[in-house]
Amino acid sequence: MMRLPPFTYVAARTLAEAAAALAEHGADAMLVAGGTDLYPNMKRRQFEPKVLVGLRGIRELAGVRGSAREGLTLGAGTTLAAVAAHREIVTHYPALATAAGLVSSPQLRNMGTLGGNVCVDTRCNYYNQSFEWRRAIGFCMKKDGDVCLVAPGSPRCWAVSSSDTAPALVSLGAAVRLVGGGGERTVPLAALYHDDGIEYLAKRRDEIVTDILLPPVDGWRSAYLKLRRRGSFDFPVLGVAVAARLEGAVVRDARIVLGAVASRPRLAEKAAAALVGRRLTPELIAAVAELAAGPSKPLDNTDFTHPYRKKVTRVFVARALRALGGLGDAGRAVEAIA
Amino acid sequence: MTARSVIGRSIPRLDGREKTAGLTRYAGDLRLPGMLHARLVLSPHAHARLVRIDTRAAAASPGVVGVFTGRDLPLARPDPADRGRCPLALDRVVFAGHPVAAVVAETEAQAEDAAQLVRVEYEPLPAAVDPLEAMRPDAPRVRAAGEGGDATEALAAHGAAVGGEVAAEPAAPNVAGTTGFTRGDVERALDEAPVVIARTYRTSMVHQGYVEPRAAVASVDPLGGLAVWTSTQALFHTRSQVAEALGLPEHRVRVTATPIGGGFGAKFTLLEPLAAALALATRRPVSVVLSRTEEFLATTPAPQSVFELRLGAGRDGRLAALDARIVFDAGAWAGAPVGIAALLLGGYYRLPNLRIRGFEVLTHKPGVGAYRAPGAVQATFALESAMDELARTLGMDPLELRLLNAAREGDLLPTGRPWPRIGLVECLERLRVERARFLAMRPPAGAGIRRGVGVAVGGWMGGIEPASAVCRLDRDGTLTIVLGMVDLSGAATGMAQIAAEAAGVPLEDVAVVCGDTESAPFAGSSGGSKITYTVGLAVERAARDARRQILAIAADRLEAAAEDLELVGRSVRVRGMPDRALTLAQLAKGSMEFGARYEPVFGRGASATTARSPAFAGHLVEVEVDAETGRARVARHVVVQDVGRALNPAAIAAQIHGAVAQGVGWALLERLAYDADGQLRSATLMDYALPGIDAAPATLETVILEVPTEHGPFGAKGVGEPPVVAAPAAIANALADATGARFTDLPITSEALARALRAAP
Ligand SMILES: Cc1cc2nc3c(=O)[nH]c(=O)nc-3n(C[C@H](O)[C@H](O)[C@H](O)COP(=O)(O)OP(=O)(O)OC[C@H]3O[C@@H](n4cnc5c(N)ncnc54)[C@H](O)[C@@H]3O)c2cc1C
Repeated sequence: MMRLPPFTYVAARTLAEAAAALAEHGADAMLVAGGTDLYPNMKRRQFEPKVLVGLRGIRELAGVRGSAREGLTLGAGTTLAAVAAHREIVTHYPALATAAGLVSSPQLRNMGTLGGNVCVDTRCNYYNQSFEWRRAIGFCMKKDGDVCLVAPGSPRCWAVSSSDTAPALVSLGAAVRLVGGGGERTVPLAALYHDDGIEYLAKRRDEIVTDILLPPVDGWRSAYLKLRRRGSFDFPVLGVAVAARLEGAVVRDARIVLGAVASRPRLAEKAAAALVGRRLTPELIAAVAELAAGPSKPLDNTDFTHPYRKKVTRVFVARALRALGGLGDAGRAVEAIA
Repeated sequence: MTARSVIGRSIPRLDGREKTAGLTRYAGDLRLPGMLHARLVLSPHAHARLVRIDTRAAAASPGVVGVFTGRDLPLARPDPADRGRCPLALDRVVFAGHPVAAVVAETEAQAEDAAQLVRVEYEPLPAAVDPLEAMRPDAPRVRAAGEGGDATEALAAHGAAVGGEVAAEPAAPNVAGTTGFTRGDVERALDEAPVVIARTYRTSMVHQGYVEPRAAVASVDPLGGLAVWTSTQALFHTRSQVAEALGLPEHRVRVTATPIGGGFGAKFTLLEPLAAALALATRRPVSVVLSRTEEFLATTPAPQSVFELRLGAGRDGRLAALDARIVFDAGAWAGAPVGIAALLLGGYYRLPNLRIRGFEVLTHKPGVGAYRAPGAVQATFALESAMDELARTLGMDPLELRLLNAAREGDLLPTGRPWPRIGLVECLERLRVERARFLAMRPPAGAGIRRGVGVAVGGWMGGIEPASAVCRLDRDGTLTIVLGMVDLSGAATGMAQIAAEAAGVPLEDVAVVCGDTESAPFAGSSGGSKITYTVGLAVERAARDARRQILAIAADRLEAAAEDLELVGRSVRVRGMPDRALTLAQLAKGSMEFGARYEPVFGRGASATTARSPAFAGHLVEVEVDAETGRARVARHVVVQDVGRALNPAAIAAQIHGAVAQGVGWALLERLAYDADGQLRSATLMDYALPGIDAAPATLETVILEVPTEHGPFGAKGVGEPPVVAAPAAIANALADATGARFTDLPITSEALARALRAAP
């Protein structure tokens, strides 16, 4: 494998320093947190920043504050391992704890951060290859080329949002705090994403994700299910996050979010709306699962084929709903054969 | 055997502690003074003409000592048809990953950076990627007319090269070799058979998946002699290859096999001639270590295969005929194990009529190598799947069907030669017992989970190759065994046991040294499950020889007849007179000091057995399949293996554990996926689904059977290969039981399972 291209590393100590470095170097600069996504990508020349602004030394980004009653604030620098093991998160926001705990391998969860995970690069069979491979095939539009090799003739890039935590967080109604040259803003996490494989983040280059804000738990339950070839290590080729607030058997509110089926986490809004005000019966679950799989339009640019991923979307949505409703064996919430 | 026999005892591996503590130093860890590092430039095209290689920018890059193309290497007679003699492509590249240049620099990083600066101009040519298409008349040719070339050595060393007739089918392009067997009248028998199973089975190209990537270091001494340290299974073979490639006499090349981090048949010779040539060219030590992606792109994976079978039987289950056409994809150099596949395919069962035609086809992919039971895994998947389906079709118990037809001693192999005593029936009978227990303990069916049970059996002929060993009594009374073998799988521990037993000394007093080609007695390559079987015999004889010499010295010194002496603990004493004794240390000193009158004890042993001791293993598997997603896992797995004599049961169990994990990879996960242009789409461990520990069976039991052979040491047979042979077939059969569908292509993905579940009731 090629080596990392040369770059200057700025070890920021404070957010202000990091923001200043980003402002100074403009398009030449990128942020790096755990580096588990960015460094391998740089070795493949998918990114060639001249300056890397390191976030690891910034205290303000570390740690989890608050409570499930009032809502939690998770520093962007919190590692995935810490998120997955955090008592309050495991108990009250299980979709997030599950998603974080299913990312890759223990080594990567110890290095990888939540902020890096919500900003993780999109993926595609034609893009996540060595530089030499891409050069031999002909570069695609996501880097160095101008065509889409999955959908030739397409004006846009179809690389797939492959974050495990993003769909879970969107289903939980999380918000994200961004700090940049222009000051600070907080937006729903769903608003952080565009459905475009290249410009998948709806934030300015100079903005830093500082915190993920989880709303008060307020009776919401949640679950996350992940499809991948092996039981560990692999990126999701489908993520299904479902959160719902129930009163007795009646659903008061619900969100269903699909990961790895588009260039952004995709809300299955119709499916979620069909749940509201109704009792969670097996019939309703089947109908909602069908609706949820509707907007799932995966292309064949990840592992497994599109029809299979669509089928499993139905299966997982139904399983998640059954788990939330306490129907059937909740032990199967993740996967029958994990 | 005496009461305190070490044969049959579970002994921890002698090198276990150093390995688990991370203390072992591999070839890639070697640092010689002044050592340089080489990085390769690989072809991005599956087939292309090399128009021009511009090395100027690379040569001017910091730290670079030299940039070499195939034309610049100091090789004797580089021959593109022989990869060993031509490590860098000359005029044409024949697979994506074919090395075209090597950059040598002071540091690995500098070499890597400079390798990016080598400008290669290619003229891409059409590529033959699929083996069946490569046989069509208009297919692009891999080897130009007149170019020979094959790489059958590794297979021969595995005992996988078998004779056979040349298959009678018009010569198709790219067919590098054919084999065939006929017996009786297949067409008539199939016409008359009331039941015929006709299917085409396919297995994928897979990588051996060893943890340690290939690595070799070469250095030249001031007089021009070459030293090579390498991660190889094949010590003396590698020396011959290097000497031949460079045109040197063998004694000018010293090869040292460094501790090996797995090989599974792949690690014969690959990088060594290149490392040696680069060291000669630069006059400095050169290290070549592959990256994981280079491993996937540019080494010697196991071949893809296609088996078209027709298996006919009577209503009573008696097999009538087998017709088979086998195609192995050899990649760019011949050497695919089609012979062994044909032999075993027609060998497990009594077949009055058979016709097997095997073809080895060249394609624009890396030349294949051996992988644990080469050819046998593929053939057994096909045959045992067909047997399972036949049992189902006939409404017979799959074990009874196999027992009814199983070959026994004296039955004929397709070659017409009789089987020696084998344990196939014993394995099947024991499987029957295990299955009763297994089924009695079946977990209750969970909601949404399909369970299925499958069996399969398979065997391995067992490799042979002459071997020698020496045994020295040291001055402290301990024994040192010096061998020319590579300890691939803990074999040295077995050698220590054999030596201790044969010499009559405590196990902890035996040291086993695996020497280099300069000093070690000859042994064959570590492949084909032959090391314990052949080198073990030599060790046994060397240790007995040493014992005889020890007793002779003692007899003289104790003034007793040798027959009246006994070796007890660490002393030789006169039977019945415990105080008339000399310690081994005393005896040793009396032969190893100034003015001493006895010859030093130096036992010698050798073996050249030509008798094979084939070994079988049966598998019983229970799978669980998620009824909706098709996700499968092996829940319970029992392996019954005939080992002849279990020298070290713990070591055998370890072999079985590894084999089952590899079987799961074959069955469910692994595939080197090439696109239509011959580009590898799974060149990292992210994309190539090597199984993790989570994919291993939740419970795995090993049952050791002992059907002795008169040929191996203490009755032992080779144990490395047999346990993997039928593992994928058994898993596939269990999946068929769980889903009601047949799976003919490996790997069987969850997607394929989900599709089958949807189709089945
Ligand atoms: C073998 C392997 C397997 C993997 N499997 C998975 C998987 O199963 N699921 C999964 O989701 N991911 C997976 N990953 C990707 C990655 O490890 C995780 O997504 C991880 O959480 C990334 O976090 P990081 O801190 O390492 O990010 P980095 O690599 O440091 O950064 C990733 C991106 O986020 C940006 N970034 C980082 N922090 C911030 C911030 N605070 N504000 C703004 N931008 C920021 C960086 O500029 C960069 O573009 C895998 C990676 C590898 C190498």
